[in-house]
Amino acid sequence: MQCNILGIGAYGPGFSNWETLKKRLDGALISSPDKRRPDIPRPAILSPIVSRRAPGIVKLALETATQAFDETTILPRDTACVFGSSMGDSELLDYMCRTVATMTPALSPTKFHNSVHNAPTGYWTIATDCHHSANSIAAYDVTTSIALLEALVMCSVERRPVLMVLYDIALQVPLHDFIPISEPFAAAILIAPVSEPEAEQPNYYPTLTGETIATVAEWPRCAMVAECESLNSIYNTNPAGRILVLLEKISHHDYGPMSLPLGTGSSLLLSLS
Amino acid sequence: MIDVRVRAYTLACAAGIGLKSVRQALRTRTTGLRRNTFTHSSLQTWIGRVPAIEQFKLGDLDSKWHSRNNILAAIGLGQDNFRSNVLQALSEFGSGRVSVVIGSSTAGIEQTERGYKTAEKDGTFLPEFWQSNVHHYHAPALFIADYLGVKGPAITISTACSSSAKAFATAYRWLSANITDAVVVGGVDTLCLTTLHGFDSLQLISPEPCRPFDRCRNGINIGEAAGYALLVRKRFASDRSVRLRGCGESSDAYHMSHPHSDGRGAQDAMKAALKSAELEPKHMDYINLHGTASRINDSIEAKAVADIFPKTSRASSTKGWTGHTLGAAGVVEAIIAIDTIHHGMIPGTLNLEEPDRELAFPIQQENSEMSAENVMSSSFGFGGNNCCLIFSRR
Repeated sequence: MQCNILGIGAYGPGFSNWETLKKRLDGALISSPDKRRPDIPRPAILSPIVSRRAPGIVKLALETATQAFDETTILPRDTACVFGSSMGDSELLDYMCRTVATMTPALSPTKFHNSVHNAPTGYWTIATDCHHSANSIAAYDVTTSIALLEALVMCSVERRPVLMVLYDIALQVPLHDFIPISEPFAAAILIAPVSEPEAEQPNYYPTLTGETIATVAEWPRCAMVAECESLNSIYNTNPAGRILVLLEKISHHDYGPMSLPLGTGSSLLLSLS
Repeated sequence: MIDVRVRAYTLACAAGIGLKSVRQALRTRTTGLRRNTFTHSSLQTWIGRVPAIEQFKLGDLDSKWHSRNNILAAIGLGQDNFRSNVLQALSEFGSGRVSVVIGSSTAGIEQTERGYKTAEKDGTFLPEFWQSNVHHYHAPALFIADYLGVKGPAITISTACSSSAKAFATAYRWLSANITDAVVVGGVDTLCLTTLHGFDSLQLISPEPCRPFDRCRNGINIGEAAGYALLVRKRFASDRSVRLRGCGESSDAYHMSHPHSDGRGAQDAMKAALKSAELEPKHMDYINLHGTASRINDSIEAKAVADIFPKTSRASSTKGWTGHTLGAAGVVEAIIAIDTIHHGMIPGTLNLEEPDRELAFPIQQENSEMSAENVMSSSFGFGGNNCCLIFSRR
């Protein structure tokens, strides 16, 4: 399976887009935080009214999704999507579990419909008038590699551009005690079939090739990520942050192959060219 | 187009545990719905509960995996020789070439609710609830892969009420891309306080047994279910095996919890499924509708169907037997539709007593004894997420 990468979005502690994340991955500005960065982004794609009502995780995901289209003529409405998050909106999960534990479990109807795992997918398709397939997936600690697999398969079987968005927000007590996600992170990658005629690929983005193999893999160590404490923490504790292994390679033009774990006896072999 | 076959399938829901008992319930028009005794609140409704969950034990796996959802997942895997069929596939293809694709909207949340309810004063869980494999969305696929010994990719799809229909679409693509040789596809969703009170907050819950497409329909009943199919490429299946012939997915791009008033998203999914199956609307012998018994959704679905299919097509909702099993609804109704091909009985719509004359499409009330060649199943979820599946005899 092969596709062209056409755009990347990113948002997390100390960076608000691919450009500022790339600087960190290239070793610059490691200790100077990006001061322009608000805690919760306000994606331009959402109207002010919708933005006020939308949960933080929706805005985090949609900010990076929007960024991924910045350098291409491909439109979101012509693009299928795969949204991946291991825990979804854990703030609303916390709210619902606390509320239903009381004697009068009156839930907010808006919070309830916003609590579905595919809420960001829903907000995205509404905001972009996208009528195509929109998937919302979870795979716990391998959410990144499984979402990459699903996006690659969708792109090569359906022969259509695919937006992949990965995001996880910090967990609260009690779940944080044993699923220690401490910082929010989101990233998005827009891919298109290599044969797509109108998909003019900015020449600094590589082509991605992937296949599954029936062997075990461990998450690789990323040299530059390991140098930066906050990136290292995201990489090792936030399931969406595992995408940093691919983003570091793209940033460094390091095109050697890598294996990412999928199941307990299968892995995703990726290479860039 | 790749030819994907259903090598084995099974179902556990309120209407019955295993295909034999589900068939019996459908044939005798016996509902699985009962008065709500699940919530310890004054919520007046009926539910599609699977009481066997409370007697079933996970044994050695219990401390790591205990949850209502995982127990129902295990009960389902134990029916109709499904587990032994998967074990055979594991030895045939190798465990790394078998995959798990599961749809679920609530996953382990019922266990998370219990953790919160019994938490210490400072909010921390009691030790028995420190289950890092249970309190997240991927819990069902992870458990099923572990329980069966599947070592290929495992994914959980969570798109609300279209989750396990979309699981078939993903599995179909995975087999097309040749990244796997066999896929355990399905869905598991269980009763929990969040969905019961959540749908109640949206005023979508009926205080009575649900009546899909009835003039007096007044809301849904929530149910729980586990259903599975083992999908392989044609050359690895018997001649009798039903074909997953087409999948169609779409987005409404309209509203988070209301369908498009013209049913455009639903139509897009049905048309996409017909196109991928290379079939005409007139070829469809049976349509298992989403038919939740919500006033608005049923009438929009009837309109969407009427715009595409001839009025002679048989269409019904089976939620009067099972309740609305949310993330599992897609697989429950796919299995019921598949079974009409093998067993010569097309279910009508239980509890539909007085058809709503305002509806744009005639809904089948009574069961009919006939065998189907091509069947469709539709599922629509919050976020405007739609999926239709088509199965054929050949």
